[in-house]
Amino acid sequence: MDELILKLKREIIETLNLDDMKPEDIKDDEPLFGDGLGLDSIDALELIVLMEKNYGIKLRDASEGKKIFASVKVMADYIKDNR
Amino acid sequence: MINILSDSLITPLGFCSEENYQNVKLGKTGIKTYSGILGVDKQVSCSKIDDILLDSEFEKQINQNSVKYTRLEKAALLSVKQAVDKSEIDVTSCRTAFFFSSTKGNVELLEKNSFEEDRLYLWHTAKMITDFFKNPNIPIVVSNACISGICSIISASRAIESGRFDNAVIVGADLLSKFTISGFSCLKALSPEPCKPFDKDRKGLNLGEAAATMILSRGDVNSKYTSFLAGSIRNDANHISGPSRTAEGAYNALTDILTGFDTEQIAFVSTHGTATFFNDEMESIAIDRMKLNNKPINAFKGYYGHTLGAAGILEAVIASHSINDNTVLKTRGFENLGVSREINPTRENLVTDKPYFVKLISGFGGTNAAAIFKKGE
Amino acid sequence: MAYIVDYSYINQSNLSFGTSSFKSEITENDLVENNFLTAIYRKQNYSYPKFFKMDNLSKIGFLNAELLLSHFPEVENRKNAGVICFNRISSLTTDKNFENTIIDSNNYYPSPALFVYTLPNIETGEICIRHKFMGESSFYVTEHFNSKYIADIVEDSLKFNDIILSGWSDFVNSQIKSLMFLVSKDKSEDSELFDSQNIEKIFKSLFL
Repeated sequence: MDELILKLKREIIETLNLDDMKPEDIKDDEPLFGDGLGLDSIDALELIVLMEKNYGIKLRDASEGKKIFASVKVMADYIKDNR
Repeated sequence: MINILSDSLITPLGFCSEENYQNVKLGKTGIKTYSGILGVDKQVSCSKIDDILLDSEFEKQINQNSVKYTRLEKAALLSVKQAVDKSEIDVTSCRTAFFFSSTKGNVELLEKNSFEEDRLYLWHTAKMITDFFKNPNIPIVVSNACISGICSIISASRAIESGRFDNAVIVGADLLSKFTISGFSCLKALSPEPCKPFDKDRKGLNLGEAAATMILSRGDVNSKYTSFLAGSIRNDANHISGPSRTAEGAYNALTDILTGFDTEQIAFVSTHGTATFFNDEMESIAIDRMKLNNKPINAFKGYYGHTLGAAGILEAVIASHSINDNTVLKTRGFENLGVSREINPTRENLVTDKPYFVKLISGFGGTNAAAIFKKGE
Repeated sequence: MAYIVDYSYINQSNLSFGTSSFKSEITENDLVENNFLTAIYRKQNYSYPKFFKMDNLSKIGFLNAELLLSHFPEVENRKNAGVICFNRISSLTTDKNFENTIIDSNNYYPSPALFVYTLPNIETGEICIRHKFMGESSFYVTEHFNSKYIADIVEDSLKFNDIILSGWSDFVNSQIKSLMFLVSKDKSEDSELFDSQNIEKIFKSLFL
């Protein structure tokens, strides 16, 4: 699980161009959207592509994405259950 | 004052303006549903010009071998030729400006290997047009997302009013491509079915393709021609792809053109109405803030889909034909209001004797524009 | 009438950037960890994380605007401030990057973050967002840098806006050259006319 969380954090930083961040800057339970990392709707759509490309998981739409992208931990749990 | 001397539309609904207008008035649509199209493997509803018809009309009217030209170039040249032939302006004069409005131009050439790179540039397509018509000026190329068409009209009218030109030929063109379909699809902006502007069941936009031309000239407001009175371009300063939640740009653009204007005289507002959740909601807020809640509004995306760089010109031409026919066209696809403000999209064609219409339009990059036109005397 | 309040520039061929009154350079050392545009961002100590999501065209516009407006804080948040930009290649570099995400049908993953930058006017949009400019934003594409074309269009727009940022950018042999003017309808003490002659003079002094 820890390995997956670290991998996810690296992928999020790279995919979303969070150039000034390192994996240790993102807390496992920190909200990715809203006040936490402050990601926006385009970032959510990129994460949907990431889920499909790297983990073979197809999400229906952006609103399903918003639930799954609540935090890195929620994402990792979802991947573990659905890949 | 600026008059529209002539116009021409090349679309799935016809190869001239009159044919287009009659088909729209009859409620026909160019939108079809495909299980896959142009290399995109999913259900897509869009509006596509027939290739065989395009080539045969091109060879007939332009008298050139269609093989040498891209689809975009063919549609644009055909549209400009028709509009020019209908007007009496001298296109070879240095007093005639050419404007080209497009978001992606020949973008489908990115998939092909056998072409010269210059063909991808919008200025190259524009130059091909001015060279064809032997116009000596550097063409003015507007690439301002989906509002490009209205921006070209505004920019051209300013250029004429400055005294630098007497006439302006404005052509807007964008075609369907794997590029744009894939792009809008990954933004989850496309509806798999024909679009439903302002409707509670709207699922997104349909893409379309068109070439649309307008010829503008210095004239007067009591002319037999439709007049362009004023326009404004305003940025939301909010987000690069989502519209302002308070419709700042659209509201400011409308305020700019309507302050001191008797809005009673406006027959309708022709909106952008792409049928995405956010765009239609934003426009309803702009209309509400302007207190135009009871004013008939319509959208033409249900007939043509979203034609990007051609949209502003195409839709203004259709609106212009309709007001000169004393008609407010219905909003194809609209049934039940699904926005937060009480506004009045048309469910059927209406008769009007009011002389003005407003065109409202928005695009990526936070762009918005509004323009007001008057029917011919 | 239109007047030049100030201008900013970026010239990758000699690694320089600045304004009419300030000049700086990127060193080889600066480029060890960062590409040229990021090196400027870091050298100037800018703090705007969205910079890293932008494509090169938007980054150029952002940096030019930041260099200019840091000297004119009173221009921020202007309702009638506009941005009008010009270039030759539109968004072609980003278009090709997006095309790479769709060209292989066995590896078809169109990128939303790339697609939103496949319009050149996003450059103007990013500047408007950063500085809260709610006037006119527009983008024009020309074959070459054309000072008369730029002067005419901006002067036309200034009848409807108080102040305009007007920029030209290009990648010549992948070397970035960009120039941005802050243009006002009001004349101040030393300000020169924003006309074809003066625009051309400044362009040549920087890039030729």
